[in-house]
Amino acid sequence: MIDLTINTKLAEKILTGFIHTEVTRTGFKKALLGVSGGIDSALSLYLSAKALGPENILALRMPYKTSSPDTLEDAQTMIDDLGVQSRTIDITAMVDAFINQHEDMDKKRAGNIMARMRMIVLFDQSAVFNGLVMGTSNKTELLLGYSTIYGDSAAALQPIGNLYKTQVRQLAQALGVPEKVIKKTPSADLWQGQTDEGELGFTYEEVDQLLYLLVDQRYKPEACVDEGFDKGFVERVMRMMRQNHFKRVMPPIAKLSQRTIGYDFLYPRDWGT
Amino acid sequence: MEHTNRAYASLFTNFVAHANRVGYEDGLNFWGGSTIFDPNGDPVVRAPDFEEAMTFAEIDLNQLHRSRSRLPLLRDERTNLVLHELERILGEK
Repeated sequence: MIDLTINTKLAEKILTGFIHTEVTRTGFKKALLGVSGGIDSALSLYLSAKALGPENILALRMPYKTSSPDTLEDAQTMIDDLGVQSRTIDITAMVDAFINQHEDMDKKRAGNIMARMRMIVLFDQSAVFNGLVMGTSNKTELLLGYSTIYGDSAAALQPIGNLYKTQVRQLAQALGVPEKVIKKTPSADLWQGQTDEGELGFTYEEVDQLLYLLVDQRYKPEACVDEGFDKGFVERVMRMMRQNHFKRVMPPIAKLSQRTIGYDFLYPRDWGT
Repeated sequence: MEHTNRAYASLFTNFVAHANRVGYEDGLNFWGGSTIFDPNGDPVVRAPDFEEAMTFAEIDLNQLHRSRSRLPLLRDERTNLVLHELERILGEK
């Protein structure tokens, strides 16, 4: 049995330090994030409030008409619990204005449009609030590419991007995220009845163990099959990781001169800070 | 990291001092926890994790000959053989 248990005290210390350092080094002191009522944004919210102080955090609730009201309420509970600033901006009108122009719209495209509309709202509000947009992606979804590029993946920082979903649950528990939010069936809530595990076809428990071997322990896919993982499952996960790699890197720039951004112009992100 | 430093200290019967930084560089976290190990591989001092610290320790250089008498790895090393073998291995590439 692969053990993905983390030292939650240490993770909290490193991640709050990370948020504080990376936000303040760019001259900002505030951050904002979309809070859906799910566990990933909940954990990101609790960590951000600890790192920067609740008064410096803006939690944005951005429901669409089909969003579960229950989930919206959970977001409010956490906002009240932490004492962070908050705003609710309904994205129904902007999403529908776009969607209704296309008769052939399907639910996947519509889901991506919702994720990108939320990105527009977040970055617009970041200018008003004078804060950085905090990402809420976990390691499982980043590796699988289970996200909308320039949608939920668009952010200045990704504080929980090195935690597998099962580890997000551990840290959320340690930080006092409400039990109801931790126990909730994971869903992007982009259409009614959608669940991550239903759409992916496997559970987070299963895939986190496999990803740990493939990525962290650098096992070859064949070696994972030897460890007892189903061959089809391993192949599918490998394919998802490869196919979606473009979402994790900057777009390549065609080289024409001596120095090209991305190849030989490679300063770290905190260059000069 | 500490395993490696400790192994080097024991193998070479030397003091090994390792200074690690604290803080974030390009988002990457450094954990501090600087150490000194003595020629027996025993810890002399350890700085705190994740916190800046001025850490002092006194090193007794007489311990070198004491450890090396007990464990004469350096005295017994056949440097010519080591050199010869290294050259052979490199030549095989």
